[in-house]
Amino acid sequence: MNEQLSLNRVSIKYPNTAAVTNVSFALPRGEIGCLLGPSGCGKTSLLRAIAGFEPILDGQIKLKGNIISSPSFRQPPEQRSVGMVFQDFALFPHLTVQQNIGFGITQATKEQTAIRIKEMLDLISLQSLAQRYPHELSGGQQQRVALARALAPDPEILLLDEPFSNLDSVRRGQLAAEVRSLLKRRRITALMVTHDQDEAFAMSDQIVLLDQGSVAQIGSPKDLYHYPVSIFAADFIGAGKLINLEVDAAGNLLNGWGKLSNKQWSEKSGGRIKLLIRPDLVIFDKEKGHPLFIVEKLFQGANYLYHLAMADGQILSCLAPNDIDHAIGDELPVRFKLDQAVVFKTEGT
Amino acid sequence: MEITPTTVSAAHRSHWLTLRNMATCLTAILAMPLFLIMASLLQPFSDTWQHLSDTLLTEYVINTSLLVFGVGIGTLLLGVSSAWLSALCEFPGRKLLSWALLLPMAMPAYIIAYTYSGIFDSFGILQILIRSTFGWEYGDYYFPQIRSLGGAICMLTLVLYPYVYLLARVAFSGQSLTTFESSRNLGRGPWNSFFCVSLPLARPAIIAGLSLALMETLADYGAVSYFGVNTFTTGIFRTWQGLGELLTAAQLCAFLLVFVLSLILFERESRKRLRYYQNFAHAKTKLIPLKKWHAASVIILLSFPIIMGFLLPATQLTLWAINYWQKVEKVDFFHLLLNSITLAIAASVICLVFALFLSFIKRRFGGHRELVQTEVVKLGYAVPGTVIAVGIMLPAGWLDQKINELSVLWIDDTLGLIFSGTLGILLFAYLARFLSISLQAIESGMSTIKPHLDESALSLGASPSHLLSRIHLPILRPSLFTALLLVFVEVLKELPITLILRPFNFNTLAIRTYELASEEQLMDAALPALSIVAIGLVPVLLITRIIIQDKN
Repeated sequence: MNEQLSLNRVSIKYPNTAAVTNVSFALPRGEIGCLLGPSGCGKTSLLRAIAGFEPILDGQIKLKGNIISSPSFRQPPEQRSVGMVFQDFALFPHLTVQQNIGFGITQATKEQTAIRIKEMLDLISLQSLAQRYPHELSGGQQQRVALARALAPDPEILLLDEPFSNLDSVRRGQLAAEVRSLLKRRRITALMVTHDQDEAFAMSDQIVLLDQGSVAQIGSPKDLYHYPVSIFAADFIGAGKLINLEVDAAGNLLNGWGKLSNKQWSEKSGGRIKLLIRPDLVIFDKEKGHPLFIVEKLFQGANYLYHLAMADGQILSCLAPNDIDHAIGDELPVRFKLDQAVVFKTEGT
Repeated sequence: MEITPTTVSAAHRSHWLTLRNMATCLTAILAMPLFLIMASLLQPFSDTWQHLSDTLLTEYVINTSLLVFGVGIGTLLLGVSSAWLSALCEFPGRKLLSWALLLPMAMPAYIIAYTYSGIFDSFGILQILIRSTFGWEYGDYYFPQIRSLGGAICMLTLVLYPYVYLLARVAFSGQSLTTFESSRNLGRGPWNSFFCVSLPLARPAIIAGLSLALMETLADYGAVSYFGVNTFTTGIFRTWQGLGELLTAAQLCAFLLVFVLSLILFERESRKRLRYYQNFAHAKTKLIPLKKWHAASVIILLSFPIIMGFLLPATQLTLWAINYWQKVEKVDFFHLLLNSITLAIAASVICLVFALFLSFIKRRFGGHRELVQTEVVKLGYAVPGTVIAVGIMLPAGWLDQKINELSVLWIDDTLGLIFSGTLGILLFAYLARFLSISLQAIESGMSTIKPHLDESALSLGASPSHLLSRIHLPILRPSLFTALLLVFVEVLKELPITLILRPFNFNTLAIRTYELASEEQLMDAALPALSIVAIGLVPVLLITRIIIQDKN
C-alpha cells in the first residue's frame, strides 16, 4: 500500500466546533487532496484532528500505516511529522524569514540547518528576503514563507488550511498554480481545506466533498464536476441549475425538450426528475431551439451569461458566445445538450 | 471690496498658520523647564556640588539604582506571572481576580508606605501584638525594618506591578492561538513553545510596562522620603529646600533625567515592535483548564498581590478613619477636599483644552513639526514631578527677583512673589506633566476616526471648525471623558509638584496626608488618604472595562 494518510470512520464532536461523522478516505503518496465544503461542514475540524490539535471521538487516523489518532490515543502535534500552513499564516513576528523557516529543524547541525534553509528559500524564490521580518512582506510572500517553514522539517504530509483565503483574487489563482507545481515537483503529499471550488479544482488530484460532517462524494475534480452523485454535490459544484421536470417511461421530457438516453433513464415508468443543467449545456439554436425570455444578461468578455425564464418560471443559465447579443425582455431560442446532463430521480412528489 | 476666492483662501490659510505657530509656541513653553534643567549643567558647579559629590551623590546613585533594580525584578515577577496565569488558564474566579489585580494602581506609593509603617513598624500594630503575646521587649526578636531601602522596594513593587501586568496580559491574551499551535506543529513541545514563541512575543509589552513602572519609581518622592531612603528625588528636595541651592538642585535633576531618558528610549523601542508583534487576526484564545489543586494554588498566588497591595492597606486606612472620625476636624477636611477637587478639575480642563488643540492641529497639518511637538509633550509624564517643579522654579524665581528689583527702583516698594507660589504656576506645572495623559487619550480616540470622514465632511462644505465641533468632538466624547478623568485623578494624588509650587498655606488632600504622616499622626492622615484611594479607584474601574475583556 502506498497510502500516506488514511482516515477510517473518523468522528469528531465537541462544543463550539462543527461535528464530523464517520469520515473515511485515503490519500496516496504524492497526491494532493482537498477537503471541500461549505463553512461549518467540519473540514477544518478534520484538518486540526490530523495535525493533532483536536481529539477524535471515534475511528482512527493513520500516517504511513501508523495510528496517530484514535479515541484512546493522541500523538502530540510536535511528534507527528505533519506540516501545516495556517489560514493566517501564523508566522512568528519576532523572527526573520530565515529564522522562521529554520524554527522546525531541530535535529540537525548548524551547517545542515543553513543548507536546508537555503534550499527552502530557493524553492520559494525569496532568497533576497531572508533577513526580513514577516511584517515587511506582502501577503503572497508571507504565504510562501509559511509554506517553506512547514516544508523545512520534511514532513510526511503537508496540511493547508484555506491557504489562499487571505490573498486577493488575482494572486490567488496564480499562487495556487505555483504551489501545486512546487508540491508536485517534490512529490509532496498534501491535504488542503477550502470552501472555494476554483481553488480545489486548481490544486487537487482528489476532492473529498463534505456535507454537514459527512462525506458527500470523493473523486477527481473532473468526476465531481461531470458526475455529481447527489443533489448536494450537483448544487455545490459548478454554476449549474437544477431544473424540476417530468419524464415518461421512455425517457421523453414531457415539456418536449428531448429524450434521455437509456443510461440516464432506465425506469419502467415515467416520473419526476431534477436535471442538472450547466450553462454550457444550454445551446443557442435558431432553428430547433425553444424561445425563452431573457430576464438577466451579464457580459463576461468572450461570452454572455443569460438567465432565461422557462414557461413554468424556473430559471436556466445559458452561456452564449458574445456575438449572440439579445436585449433583456427578448426571446432567445435554446436547446439542451441533454446527453451530458445529470439526472436525479426525485421520490414521490 | 470684492472678495475673490483666492483672497479668501489666503486669509484662511494665514489664520491656520497662526494657529499652527501657536501650537509650536505652546510646546516650546511647556518644554522650557526641561530645557532649563539641562542648561543648568552649563552653569558653574558650586561648592555645595563639591560637597555633594564627596558625600551624598554616591549614595543617591546607589540607592536610586538599587531601587530601580529591585522594583524592576519585583514588578516583573508579580506582573508577568499574574498576567500569564490570568490570561491563559481557566480557574474559578478568573475574571474577578483579573480585574482585582489592577486595584493596587489606586494606591499611591506614599500612602501604602505610611500605612505599612503603621502596621509593621516597631510601634506598629503587628510588633506590639508580638511583644504582648510573647512578653518580649523591643530588640529581643528579629523583625525586618520596614523603613529601609528593602521596604521601599516592596512598597513600590506592590503598587507598580499592575503596569507590567496590564500590558503583559493584553499581549498574552492577544497572541493568536495559531502562533502557538504552529510552533507545536513544527516539532516543539508546549514548554519549549512558551519560551521560544509566547514569551518573546510578549516581551515588548512586558518591557513597555516595566519602563512605565520604573519611571514611576524614579519619580517617587513620598515613599522614599517617608522611609528616609536617600535617592535623587529626596536629594533634590534637600539641596534646594534645606541648603537653598536651586542651581545645584537643578543640576541633580539633570542627572536624574539621564536615567529617565534612557527608560524613555527603552520604552519607545519596545512600543515600536509591539505593533508588529501583536497579531489579533484569529485571536480566539483557548484557556488551559487547571486541576483542582493547581487552580487553588493559582488563586492563592494571584490573591497575594491584591491583598498586600490593596485590601490590607485599604482596610487599615478604613479602620483608622472610622476610629478617628470623631476627632478629625471635619470642616478642615471638607476644605481640603474642596481645594483638591477644584484644583484637579481646573487642571484636567486646561489639559483637555490644550490636548484637543494640539491633536487637532496635528491632524490638520500632520507635518514633521507636529509629530515632534506631540513627542515633546509626551515626555512630560516621564519626567519626575520634582524635576518639573525645579525647572519651573528656576525662571519663576529669577523673574520675581528681577521684577522686585525694578519695582524697588521705580516705586520704592516690593511687589512680592508674582510667579512663584501662585496657583497659576502650579497649574502650569500640572499642564507640563499631565498634558501628555490627555493628549494620549485624545490621540487614541482621534486615530479611530478615519481620514475619509474628515474628507467627506470637508467635501460636504464643512469648515474646519465645523469639522471639530460636529464630527470630531461628538465621536471623541468617550476619549474626552477619559482624558478628564485620568488627569483629575493624577492631580489629586500628585505630591512633589504641589509640595514645591503650592501657594503659602494652600493645602490639598495629598499634602495634608503627607504632612500628617510625616508628623507620625497616622490615624489623622487616614481620612484624606482614604479619599485619595477611593477617587483613584474610578479610572481603575474604567481601564478594567476597556482592557480586560476576553474575546469571546
